[in-house]
Amino acid sequence: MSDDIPAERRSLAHRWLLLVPFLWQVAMVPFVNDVAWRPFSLPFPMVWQMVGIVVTSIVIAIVFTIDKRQEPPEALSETARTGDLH
Amino acid sequence: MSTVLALTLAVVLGTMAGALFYGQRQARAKTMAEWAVGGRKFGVLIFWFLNAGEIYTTFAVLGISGFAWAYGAPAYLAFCSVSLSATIGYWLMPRIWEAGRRYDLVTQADFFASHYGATWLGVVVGVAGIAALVVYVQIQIVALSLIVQLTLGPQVSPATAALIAAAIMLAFVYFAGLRSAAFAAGVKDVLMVVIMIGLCLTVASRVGATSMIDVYRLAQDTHPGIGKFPGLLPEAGLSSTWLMTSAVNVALGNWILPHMFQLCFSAGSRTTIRRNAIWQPLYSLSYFFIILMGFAALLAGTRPAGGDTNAVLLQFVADSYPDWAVGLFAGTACLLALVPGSVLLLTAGSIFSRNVVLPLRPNLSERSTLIISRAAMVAFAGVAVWLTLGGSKSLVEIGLSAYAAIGMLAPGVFLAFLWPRAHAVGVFIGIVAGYVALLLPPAQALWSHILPEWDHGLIAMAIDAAVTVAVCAVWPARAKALLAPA
Repeated sequence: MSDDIPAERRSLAHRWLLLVPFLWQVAMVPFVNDVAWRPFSLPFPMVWQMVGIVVTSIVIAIVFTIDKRQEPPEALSETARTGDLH
Repeated sequence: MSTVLALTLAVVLGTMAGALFYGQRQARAKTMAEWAVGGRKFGVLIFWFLNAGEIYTTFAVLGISGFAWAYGAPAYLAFCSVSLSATIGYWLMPRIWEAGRRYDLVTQADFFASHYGATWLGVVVGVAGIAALVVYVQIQIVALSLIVQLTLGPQVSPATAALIAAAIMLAFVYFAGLRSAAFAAGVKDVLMVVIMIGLCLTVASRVGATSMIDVYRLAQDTHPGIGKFPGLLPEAGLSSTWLMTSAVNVALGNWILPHMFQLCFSAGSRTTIRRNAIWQPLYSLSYFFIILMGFAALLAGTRPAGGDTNAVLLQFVADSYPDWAVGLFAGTACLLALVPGSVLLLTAGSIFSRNVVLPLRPNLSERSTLIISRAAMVAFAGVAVWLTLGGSKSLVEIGLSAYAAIGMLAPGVFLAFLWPRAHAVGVFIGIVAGYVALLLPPAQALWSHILPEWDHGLIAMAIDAAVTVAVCAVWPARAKALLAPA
């Protein structure tokens, strides 16, 4: 099955950004656990996770924007394919 | 109590009637593909509702609030689960979607059978997928039976309540296929938002706090350690190591759950999937309010019957709010269990008929396939009821065991897209090794000893992946060539 990477020469380096959510929400957990500061009276480890959610959405949005810019012809053919299925 | 019962019934029956109406306006489901993936032409809106239906589950609302009440910080697992799954989904889902479209796949087992060129592997994967789905259905049955007991009274035994819950769920499924689940998901989302806003606006005054934020302050002042790991019960082993390993395991396993896998097939386009991955994490910020409810119940001194953590939120609402509010909440909580429950049963049923029965009896007509599929769902609901009677575990624990079970199929999915050399025999031996590492008691004891507080599902998944890679590296294409015609 060759449905993996599109054959065109394009950089996929920006996809590494998708590791950021894992570094933030997983790798950093032990390091933020003992922070006693309570922003808005909330436990810091909880605020950390919530900010991590927002960061994740931003990261995915950035990757999406870059992907979109790189693959306009594919998007066109997709519309055509979706069209004949309706 | 009669107000509660009447309102609960009104919400559930009203939604069922609406779903039926909505389902009948669409073309009648005739073929297997139509019934199971909704004709492969969901638009953005219905796709979004179905996805959201997966987020706001009983696992999240009843399970996480109970976890916050009992342990505190370990409930943050909810904050990791959606965002990390979406991150992996951004990369993985379009690949699954593409494969589904290209090879006209309906189920996850189809994917394994088609990609690895081995029908027998499809059968193995189908059975494993059904097992994980039944565990997941158990979550919904547990929640529904709690509501049955709340509305009908404590004289209803847990066994009876579970049977009633299963009957309600099957009735819900049979009215129509996936389309009615989409309608009910919409109703449920609206009701859930209304209820959460109502609860959040009123909760502070009921527990002696001045504001929502103040509930968090009070909880931390009166229960030191609640806001950080390992939480209120250090002996439970829910440390930061537990969170890290569980969160990664949930993220890796999320799209491997057969119904989530199938959801990828029903998307309209790659862009729909990707755009969804951007917004999905933000919905999960609303778990802030779920954890708030758990902390509020703790401050209010809520004592659910039998110390059942799953019943905390229901008990808190029943104790502190008027009957009409309790009824509305109970009805919505029913939908919360019914919507994913029906999708889970539908998925299990279609996998059974298509990937387990059909390879053995290839001459079955579409019609008999559909009948077998529907009958199988009754059996699966029965098994879920039986599992429920086994003992009361936290919904979060049951959920994690479903992720652990399905995680054994993850290496086969990821390697399909990453490593052309991976083949059916290697994937199969990896799956067997993974289940041994997950289920064999001596293995479990070993993990608890050398990797304390690690999620066993993640360890087993790593072993599964390592074995698969090793077998495929050492014993390459010959095996594939031998078994391909099977």
